[in-house]
Amino acid sequence: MPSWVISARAETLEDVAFLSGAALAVLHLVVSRGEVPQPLLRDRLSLRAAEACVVLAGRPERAADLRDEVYLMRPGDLPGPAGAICQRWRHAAARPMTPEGLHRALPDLTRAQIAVWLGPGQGGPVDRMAQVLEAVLAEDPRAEATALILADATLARVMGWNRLLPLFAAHLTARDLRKSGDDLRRACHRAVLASCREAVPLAHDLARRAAKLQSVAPKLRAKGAGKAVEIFLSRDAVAPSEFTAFMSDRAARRLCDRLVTLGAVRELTGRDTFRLYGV
Amino acid sequence: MARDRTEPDLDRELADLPPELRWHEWMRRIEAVLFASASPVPREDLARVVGQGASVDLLVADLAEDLGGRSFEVTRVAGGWMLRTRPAYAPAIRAAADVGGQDLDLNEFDIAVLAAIAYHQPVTRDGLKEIFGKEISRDLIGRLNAQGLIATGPRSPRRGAPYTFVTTERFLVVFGLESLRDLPDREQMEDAGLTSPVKNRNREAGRIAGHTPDEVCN
Repeated sequence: MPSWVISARAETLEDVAFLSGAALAVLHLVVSRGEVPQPLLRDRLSLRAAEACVVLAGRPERAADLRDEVYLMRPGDLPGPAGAICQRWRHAAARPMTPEGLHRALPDLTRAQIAVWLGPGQGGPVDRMAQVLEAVLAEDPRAEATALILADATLARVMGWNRLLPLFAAHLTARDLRKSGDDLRRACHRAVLASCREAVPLAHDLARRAAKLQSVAPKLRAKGAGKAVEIFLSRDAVAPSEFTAFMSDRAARRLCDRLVTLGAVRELTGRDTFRLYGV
Repeated sequence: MARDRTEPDLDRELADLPPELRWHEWMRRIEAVLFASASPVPREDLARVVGQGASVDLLVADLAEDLGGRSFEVTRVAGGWMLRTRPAYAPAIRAAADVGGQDLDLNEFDIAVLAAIAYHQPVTRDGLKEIFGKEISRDLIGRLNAQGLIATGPRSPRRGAPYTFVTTERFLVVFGLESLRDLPDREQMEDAGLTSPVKNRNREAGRIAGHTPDEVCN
């Protein structure tokens, strides 16, 4: 990202808008590059956005707790309140942006309402994002997750992306969300700028890590290693037990250990048991 | 909840009615759906019985106003709407009918544990033990589970992978909460001098659920 976008300070709405536009253009180029593992980027940003929403809801859980909740759930278990928010974000980022695809992530809206917001509307991407936030929160001030998911969806739609990229949630404060009109629009532009400043290096970093993982993949002799690598490239975190569909429990754990030794993945929890690995 | 119920005979748009009557008919339909349902009806389901693009929220608001003088009201619980009798008529209903079967059979300590789960979820039995300073019996957890107030959540990443417990939608319905964020703020309760939040929750639970704790253990 050019340094004038990174370091520039802007106060007026016009200046912030100018910078956020420039930042979005850079982000657009970066995320559409082939070497960026898109599903992984979306999943990691989902976790970040979910954490922000959990904070907005006044709950104590943080990213590590959310990972535990989501990845240690078994079929039939209900998520906790924070895990449910996390599931909504991951769902929103993984599904096509249609009313049908987003409905599960936005249970408090009807499909018709989602369709209206995803349809052609007035104004540029950030204006529309501000409109979405204002309208949804006016209806229910506690529907932050709904408002923010829909705002990201609107942006993705205007940018012509085929999936939602969770960007703004982590960069809008509870105070920002209570603003309206020009104040809200300024806050949205700032959030766009801040989220691009974060997402662009993250995309580069993940591209580098993905390349590293792919480069060591041929060295892996375990049966099903290729499949495991694919899963790593599409998910924020993986529990070795998820590989047991195509390899033994022991082989799965050894594969993860080997990938850590090779520097291709990291162990994310710092625990000795119930470990989670990610690129 | 069935995904795509199509009811060919239902004329959603009511194009042949003048606007005012149409609106009124939509209100009546929402009333009928809520009346017929024992659980909260989400917005999406209500949207299926009114015209495309009609605002369910406005219709419900008008319906609520319409029911102003009646003994029951529209309430928003667990992300949907329900019709329920106004609390003022609880004694009359109890006097007329035996509602014992619908009563939650929970004692004071059960409710204290339920409140602890609500605030600390997802929480394991060990976590509850830390809160109460004593073992919480599987029996008690089983009772809450059997009433549908709690369910198992994700496993806790500890030795033995114990289940955590979380509250259910029924918990919200029974206690008249729209979401978990309606739980009284812990700090506010302490500031108000209610240093024994257990008792306070119990009283509130009793009022809302029409439940009188008859048997006090502990």
